[in-house]
Amino acid sequence: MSDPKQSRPKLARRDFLKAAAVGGAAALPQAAAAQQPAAAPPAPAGYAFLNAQEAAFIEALADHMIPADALTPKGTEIGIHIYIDRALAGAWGKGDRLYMQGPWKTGVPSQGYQLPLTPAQLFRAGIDSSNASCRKTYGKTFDRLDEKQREEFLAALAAGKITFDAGPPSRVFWTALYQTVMEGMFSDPIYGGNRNKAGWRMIGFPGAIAVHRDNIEKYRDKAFPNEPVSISEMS
Amino acid sequence: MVTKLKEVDAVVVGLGWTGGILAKELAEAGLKVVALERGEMRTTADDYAVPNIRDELRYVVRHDLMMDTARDTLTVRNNPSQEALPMRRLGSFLPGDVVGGSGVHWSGHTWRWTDMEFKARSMYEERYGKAFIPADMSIQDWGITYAELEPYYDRFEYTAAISGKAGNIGGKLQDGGNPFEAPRARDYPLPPLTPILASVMFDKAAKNNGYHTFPRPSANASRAYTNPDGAKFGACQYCGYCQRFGCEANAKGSPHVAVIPFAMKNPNFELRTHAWATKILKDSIGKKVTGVVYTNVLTGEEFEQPAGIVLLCAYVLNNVHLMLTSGIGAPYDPASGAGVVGKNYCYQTGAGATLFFEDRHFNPFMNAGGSNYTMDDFNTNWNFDRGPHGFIGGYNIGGGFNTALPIGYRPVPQGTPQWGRAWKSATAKYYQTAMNIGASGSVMANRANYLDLDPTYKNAFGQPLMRMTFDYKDNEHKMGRHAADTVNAIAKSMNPTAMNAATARTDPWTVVPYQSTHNTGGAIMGVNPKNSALNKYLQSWDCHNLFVVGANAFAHNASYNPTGPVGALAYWTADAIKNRYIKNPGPLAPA
Amino acid sequence: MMKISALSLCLAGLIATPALAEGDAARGEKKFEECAACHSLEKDVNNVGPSLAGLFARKAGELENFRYSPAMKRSGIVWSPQTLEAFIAEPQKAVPANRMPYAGLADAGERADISAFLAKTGK
Repeated sequence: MSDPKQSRPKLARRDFLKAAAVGGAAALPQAAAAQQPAAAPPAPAGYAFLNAQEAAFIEALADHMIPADALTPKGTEIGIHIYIDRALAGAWGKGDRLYMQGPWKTGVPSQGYQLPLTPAQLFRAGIDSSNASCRKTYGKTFDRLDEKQREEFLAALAAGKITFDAGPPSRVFWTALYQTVMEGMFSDPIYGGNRNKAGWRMIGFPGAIAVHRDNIEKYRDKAFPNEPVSISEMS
Repeated sequence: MVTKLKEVDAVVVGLGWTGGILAKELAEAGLKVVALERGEMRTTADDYAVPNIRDELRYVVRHDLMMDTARDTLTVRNNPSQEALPMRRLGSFLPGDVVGGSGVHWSGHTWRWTDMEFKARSMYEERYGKAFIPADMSIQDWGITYAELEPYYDRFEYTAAISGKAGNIGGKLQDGGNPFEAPRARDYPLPPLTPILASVMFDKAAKNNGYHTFPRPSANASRAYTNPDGAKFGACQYCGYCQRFGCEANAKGSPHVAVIPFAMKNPNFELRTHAWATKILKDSIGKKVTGVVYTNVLTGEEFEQPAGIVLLCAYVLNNVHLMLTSGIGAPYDPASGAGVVGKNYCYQTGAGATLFFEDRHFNPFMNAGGSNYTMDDFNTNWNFDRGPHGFIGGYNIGGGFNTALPIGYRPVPQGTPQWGRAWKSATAKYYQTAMNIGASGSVMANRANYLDLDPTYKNAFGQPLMRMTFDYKDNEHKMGRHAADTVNAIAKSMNPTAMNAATARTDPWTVVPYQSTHNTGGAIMGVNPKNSALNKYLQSWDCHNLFVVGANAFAHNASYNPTGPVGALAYWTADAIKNRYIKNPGPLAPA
Repeated sequence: MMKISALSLCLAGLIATPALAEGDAARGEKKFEECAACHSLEKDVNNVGPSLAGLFARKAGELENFRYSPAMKRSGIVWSPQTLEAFIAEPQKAVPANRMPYAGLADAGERADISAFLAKTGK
């Protein structure tokens, strides 16, 4: 399969960007184009929160939900698993901005999240329960399922057809899990996901560069040259 | 132990739009003013500058500029038969939590509410008879008129750098503006923003359907601007990071640009950040307030700040909470209808359609906070006969984008898979080729929608959380159906390749997802202390040296964004204090 | 001796700036309103953008008290009416990934006016 980056049109803007990054006399468009690196294989990342079982689940999930094709590399090559691990290890995962005082009651759906769990605790319990459910149905954990079984399980989880035995409500887990996959795909790369801005490239989102006062007219009904820029590239 | 500080002339609780305006105006009138702001100072140069501000995860998803629900939140339920449970994280609405308040992260939509709101009960009764208003709909006239507020709307529009096009100057209709607006003395300070493609397409379709579209008035400076006080605004860059973000170009009308710097420059003014107000103190007979108790959240120390005048300028919900925890005004009782504090809490409703055009390219990430054409044919248009439809209030419709960033905005036609290759290709295709048409609708006050103190849950200071009891009623459902039909008719006339149609909401109000930070009521203005907490100058009927300034004063909620009248009422109150109250302290309106 | 980097030379050529028009400082002062929300003309007063006092005597990214973008620091630009006008025509094109939230000034005459104004007052 061809490198998705190479399949996209080269744009003058990209060359300038490279020129600026290199600077000085080397900053000629041809020289910059010649220096285009192929997407370097990601270095093994290591985990700050997920244990081995959980990491295997998240990696399998990321690659199943975001398969490689002409649009992007697969989920783990984009760093979605790393995004999720870091989010769970950090303040958000530990319940930052979450009101954590009881009494704890289920309430009605319109009252929103009511579990006595931080996101990290919810993921731990949710992954464990998902694997238990997979073992019951397929005799093995999610990461060991074949593609068809993974699809079947996720479809059932998303549709609310899976009930966790003694675990958190499966829909609450799925909603949080799905949201973090999307965050890993589309948040700024400083958070560990969206590696090489693959998510932004896929949809033509230019990232942190956003001075469009003249572009409203200039690119009316036309594609904006898509070489996204991340926060770190302007820092 | 509470440390008692030296008395000042006025203490302002909360330094956003209303606090900023009042602090500036009163300090310039010679009063010694202290502002207590529970959040921290943030500046354009250090906090809202490129590139760090362009972070959707931090500002939109993780609410970096918003209130911290771990410390303080409220409990919610749809009706009194339910047990209220805490809103454990933000969702439906997002009060701000820094100097500048929600005025930092708003989009800037600035409207003039008209006598259709201020005289809602009398106008509907006159036209349709008393029986047209449902028995449980507790709308009442506000006690103020559009004519009284007009100069103050003007003042706020020129302060906050509003871009727009007048529709009615002194009774004369203006081409290209809103023909249904009330007469204004002059045009907006800045011309309208450049319309984006989606907005242009909506504009054309709505006009073809016989409607009257106009550019949405918004605090996004269409070109560089210096306001009457000398605050300098850059030109809006259509960066697409407006709602939920501070503006890196100082192009958004925000209190930390437009008014607060002038208060800060004045030696009569002092700002204390990280100062969390917990109680308003009353004198022994309860006829006046004497000051505010607050906690320095950096140290935990408690202080009492005595003051001649107390101005509550926090978010709607926090103003009402402070009234309730301080025992000022009789709490509202939904069973008997007696009491006033907590009464007539309102919100907004809406309906929206997503349109997909395979041959169009929208670049949705290019937009200003207010780059949407809008129509008021079913809103401030009093000629629209509500009689056959049986609802009170109205809705405006706009077409375009606002904050179309990719974690939150990934439109795909209904039925698209949620992941996998098909999801990827649909997401890639439709991000660029979809647009929205949305209706925002009013919510009329109802006897059963109110705010009070929760019996169970507490905040970080050991105080009861506020309890919100709210749901949409039949009136809103009828309007929602009408709005969805109108949106869908316009959308279909545009012949999209595919469309996710607007549907009227029938389910209860929920705390997720985000809907709007347009909560109103709870300490409302009026003409009678028996059914309102404040007089027309936003002065407490109970304690004449207490003013409660914000959308808490709205007797019901219109379809419009609230900041226009919030800003105008702040200037109106400032004038009443400067010109009348200081000279002759006492009630400014007869009970 | 004026040193112009390869980058700024290259860009100036691409932007195709015509022979510099003679700017009008009074008109430039009015146009400067577009810059004033972020740039002060007082020495050492930095805001969202750096002070423009004494601009034409310095290199891009030089003020010690202002935190410039790396792109600006390494741009190699030495500020003169020519380089300023080439830059503000379309800043993101001239110095990609610089942090100035300003799309640019298309009118060469207006750019010259700003130069003239800064040459006069920005000393």
